[in-house]
Amino acid sequence: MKLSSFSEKELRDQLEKLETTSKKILETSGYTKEAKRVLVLQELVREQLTNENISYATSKIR
Amino acid sequence: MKILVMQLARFGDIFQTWPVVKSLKRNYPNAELHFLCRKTFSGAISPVNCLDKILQLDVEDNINFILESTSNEPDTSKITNYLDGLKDEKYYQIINLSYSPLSSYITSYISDEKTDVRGFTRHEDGALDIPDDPSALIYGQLGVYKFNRIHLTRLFSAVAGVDLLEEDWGVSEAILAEGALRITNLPKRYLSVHIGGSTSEKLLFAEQWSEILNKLAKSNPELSFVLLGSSAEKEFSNKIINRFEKAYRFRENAATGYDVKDLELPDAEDLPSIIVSGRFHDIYLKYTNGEYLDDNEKEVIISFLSLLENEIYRAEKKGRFILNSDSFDFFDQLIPTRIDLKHLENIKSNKIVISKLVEDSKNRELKDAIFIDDDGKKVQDDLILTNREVEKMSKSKYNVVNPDAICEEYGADSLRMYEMFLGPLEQSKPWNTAGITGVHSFLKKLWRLYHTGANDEFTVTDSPSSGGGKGEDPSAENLRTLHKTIKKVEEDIENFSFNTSVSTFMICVNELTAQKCTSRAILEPLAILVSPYAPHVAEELWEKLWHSESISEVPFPKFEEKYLVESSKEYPISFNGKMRFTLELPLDMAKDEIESTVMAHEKTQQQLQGRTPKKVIVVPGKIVNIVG
Repeated sequence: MKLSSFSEKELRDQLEKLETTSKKILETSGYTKEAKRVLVLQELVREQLTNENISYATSKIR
Repeated sequence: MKILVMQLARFGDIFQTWPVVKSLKRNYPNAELHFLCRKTFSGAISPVNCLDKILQLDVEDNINFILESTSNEPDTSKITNYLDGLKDEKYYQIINLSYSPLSSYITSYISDEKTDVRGFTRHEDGALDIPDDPSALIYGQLGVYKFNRIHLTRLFSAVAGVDLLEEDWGVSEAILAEGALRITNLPKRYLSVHIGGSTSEKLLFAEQWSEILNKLAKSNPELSFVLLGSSAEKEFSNKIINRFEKAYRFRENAATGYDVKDLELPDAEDLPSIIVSGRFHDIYLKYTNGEYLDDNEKEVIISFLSLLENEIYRAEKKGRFILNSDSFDFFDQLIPTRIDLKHLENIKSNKIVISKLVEDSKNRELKDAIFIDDDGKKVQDDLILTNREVEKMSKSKYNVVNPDAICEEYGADSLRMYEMFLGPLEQSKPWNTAGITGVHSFLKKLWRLYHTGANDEFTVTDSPSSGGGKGEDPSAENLRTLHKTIKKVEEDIENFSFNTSVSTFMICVNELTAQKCTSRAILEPLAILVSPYAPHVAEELWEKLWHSESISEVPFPKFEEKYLVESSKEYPISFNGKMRFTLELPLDMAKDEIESTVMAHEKTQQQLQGRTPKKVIVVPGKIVNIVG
């Protein structure tokens, strides 16, 4: 399935899930390898939600 | 030895990384050079033929994987494989040239204590680590509308720790010969302009681009331009070129002689076939004045403001202000909040007067806050004990002062001048707004110097010698004051000693006020001298002085030594060692003449009361002492 076919809601739900997980790991075990992995994923998802959607090569606005 | 260069931004930043990659290969010919970028933009680096491996981060694939997962917990297996694969390369050096939380987390993951990490990474607790000054400068110029930029490629090379040669900037003959660029005749020297942009704030219209190109062309007749963009922007680039040519012909009424090419970048999927590298310049840099910025080495001085401050802690989401973090573990997060020293009970006390703080504060959250003491109870009296710390002003410490409130109260010029006045630029300085009133008063005094008429009307007199005005020519005193100020300010600017310049202005304005100076010949140059320090006030004065052009465009006043040469001396006249009066005499007056002039003066006769002195001691240029 292409990324663009996912709704913003699905991305937000996933981001929330990742944030909860990373927060839990950071609080219990600290900045471990597992925390880093989740944080990488978290940022990958977050980037799709901001103004700068990284999946487009150039802006569609002019 | 393996080196990884990481660039997780988009086209523009990848283009700007080209020269750095080439320099790295030149400096470390035996190293295995890897490049990590997003898959979408990997084509932008593919024509750089000195790389041993281009690693692609497939964002879409990774996100699809976790989105399709039905597990309640995020499935990290795919990203783990990818990151572990990178870690297994055991890089000797990792150079992170992109600023993003993502790139810093990846750097942190794939490095260990033996890795030489350059650029953004993470501390042991996960907080962002900006390990070097060039990275801090990259961080500082992120975003749009920041005109004091340093060329990004220069910063990248500084982060990577390599120098750039002329050859690093250009496209090699070998690449051209390969035909991958779909072009064979690039100009010898050219400015490449990336017309794309990821967000609307970063985009310019065709009219704006053409205006920029025109200005650049005017100041650099030999310069050619190469426009870069995606195939979707082909039509847009034609628009720019048409406007540029029309505008130029209109303005110069001559054949252009400029070589304007538009090169087409295909869409992301088709990218491996094309890219052009040239001299990458941040076009915004000189948009304001249209000058072409060559690679001038400009000295950069980084000045930190530190805070001597008292702080209370803000409990996030709770809207409560508390004494310190030790006693309150029930809050989500405690953020130190800066309290101005003026809200203290007194300067030696660490107690803050709550009513004063709340009254002065523009922070709504503070106005609604509940103040709690060490025992978790609401503070009953008006005083609350706080901690005091000296620390650098930094976003990570939540102690950055918002200048808006100061600008609103005192004006932007007062803030600007006060920052200069705080101390030597290269030294850390405590931020204390208590002194800003001094600078603000000075600016008011400067304003009054130009407004000495009835009802504080603007009054400046023209000198008869400079065009038939009815006023008086500036006195020698006026000219001396002005030229010693010009000399000092000129030296101070050269030495970045701005704080002493501000002191010099204060002395100058005091002297000219005492001299009741209203001469245009003095006040005009003074406005120019002040303009870099207080541009708004200076611009206003300049307009009142009947000038239509901006004060920022007029030349700096010229210092003339002749006005500083003292022609006379105010001699102290002493009788038996006691000074009784002073007498101004020319400095070139002979000893005998000084003696006879002093003796003939009526005040001398009054002092002597008919007596004949035994001796008259004259030290030319210093003193006259009458004995007996």
